[in-house]
Amino acid sequence: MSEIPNNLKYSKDHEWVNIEDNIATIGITLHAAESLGDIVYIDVSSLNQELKQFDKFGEIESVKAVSDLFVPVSGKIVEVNEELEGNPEYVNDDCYEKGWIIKVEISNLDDLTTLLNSSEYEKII
Amino acid sequence: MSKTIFYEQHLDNNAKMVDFAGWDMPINYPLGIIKESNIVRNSSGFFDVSHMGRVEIRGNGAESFIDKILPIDINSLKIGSAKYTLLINEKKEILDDLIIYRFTDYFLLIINASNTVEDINWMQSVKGKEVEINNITSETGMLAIQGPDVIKIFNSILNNAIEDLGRYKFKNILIENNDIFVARTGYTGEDGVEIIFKSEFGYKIWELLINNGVTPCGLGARDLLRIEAGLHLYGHEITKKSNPIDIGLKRLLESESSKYINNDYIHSENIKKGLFSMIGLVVTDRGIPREENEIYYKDSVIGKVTSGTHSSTLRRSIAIGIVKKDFNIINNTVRIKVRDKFLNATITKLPFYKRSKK
Repeated sequence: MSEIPNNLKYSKDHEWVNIEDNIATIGITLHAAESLGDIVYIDVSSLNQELKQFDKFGEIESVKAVSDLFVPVSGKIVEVNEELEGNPEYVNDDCYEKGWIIKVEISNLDDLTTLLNSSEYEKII
Repeated sequence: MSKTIFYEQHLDNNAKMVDFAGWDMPINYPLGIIKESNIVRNSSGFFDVSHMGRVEIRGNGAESFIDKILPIDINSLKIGSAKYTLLINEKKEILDDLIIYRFTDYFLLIINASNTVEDINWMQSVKGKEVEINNITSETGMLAIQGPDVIKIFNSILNNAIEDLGRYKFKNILIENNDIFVARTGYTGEDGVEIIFKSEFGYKIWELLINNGVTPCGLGARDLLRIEAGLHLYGHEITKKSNPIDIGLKRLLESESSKYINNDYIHSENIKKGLFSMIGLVVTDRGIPREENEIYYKDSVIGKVTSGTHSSTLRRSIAIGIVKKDFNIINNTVRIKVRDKFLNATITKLPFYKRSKK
C-alpha cells in the first residue's frame, strides 16, 4: 500500500496539497508516481500565472507514459521546484518532500473543502 | 492471460505486471526501468523471456523446409550457429523476425510471442510430410542474461564452460545434470547469453542467478535497451507490409536458393528500390516522442516515429522513425509532433549506443 500522509489534502487527480497560511505546496502522490514509473520530465506553467482550481498546470512524463498535472486549488504560482529539472527522480524517490512541484498562493480558501483527506483518498486508489 | 514459469518470482519481487501479447509479464521491478537498464549496461541483469515462442523444426525434410521458408543462405548456417532472419509468407507479408539455431539434425526458431500462433499455422500450411513442427514453448523456460559481466559470471559458475563460445554461437551444457541451451545472443546491445531449459528447472536457475548477483529486470528496460541499440521490434519497426530494404534489413535477404518461396521477390528490382529509410532521432527538446508521432521537415510530414524512449545512457530522449528515403540526411534537424507540441530532433545513425569491445 502506498504511503498517504494524513496531514495533507488530496485531489482525485492524485495531487497532494500541503497548506501553510495561504500557500499551498503541491506535488503528486506516491500512488501516482508509482503508476507512472521513472519520471524524466516535469514541465509546469510559469511563475505568477493565475490558475483556477483543477486547471492544467503542467505535464509529467515518465519513460512509459505522460500525464497532465491539475492544480488542486485556485491561485497564483509563486514558486516552482527548479531542482526537478535536473533531478526528476526526486518525484519517484521522495514525492512528499524533495519532489514537490509548485507553490501556489491560494486565492479561494473554499477550494480546500472540495479536496479529500487521507482516508478518503485511500479509498479511491 | 498466460503466465510464464517465473510468475511467482515476479510477484515475490514486487514486479509491476502488464499484459504483453496475452502474457502477464513484469514491465519493471521496484528499481524501475532506468536503474534496471543501467545495471545491464554496467554489470549484469536478466529478463524472463519465456513468453517468446520456441519451435523445433525436425524430420528428414527439415533442412530443405528451412531453405524454402527463410531468406538465409542455409549453407552458411553451421551447426552450433544462429542467424537473425525474417519469416515472409507467399503474399510477401513479413510474419515475424526470428533467430534460427542449427543443431546436428534439427533447427530451433525463437519467434515473437505475439506472432507464435500465426507463424506456426503458416509453417504448417506450407510444410511437406517429412517435416515436424514442435512447439516447445510451454514445456521450457527462457531467460536472457545480459551485461558486460555476464560471460565472466557464467564461466565462474560453470567451470569455464562457455569460454570458447563466440557471438551468435550456442552449445548445450549441464548444470546439476540438467541440459541447458546457452546461446551468445541478446537484444540489448550488450554481451550476454540467452538460455533455454526444462520448465521444472527454472526456479533453480533463477536462484543461481540471484545468488551470483545478477539482477532481475523487466521488459521496460529491455525495450529501452533495444531502442538504444537500434534493434527492430515487430509491430513497431517491422510490420506485415514493410519492405525489408526500407527498414535497413537488406542484409538478411541472403538466399540465392531457387527453393526459397520468395526468391523472385527478394531479387526483384521492385524491392530493391525502397521508398523509406529507418533513422535514429536524438531529441534536443524536453519530451519523449511516442509511436505514430509524425515527423516533419519544414512544413511537410516525412514519416512517423516507430519507437521512442528516454535514453538513460545518452541522457536524452531518442526515437526510431521511418521517413521518406530522400529525407534521411544525417545531422538534419526535423520536428516531431508530440501531442500538441513540436520537439526538435537531429537525425542520427543507428545504433544510438554501441558497447566498447574488450
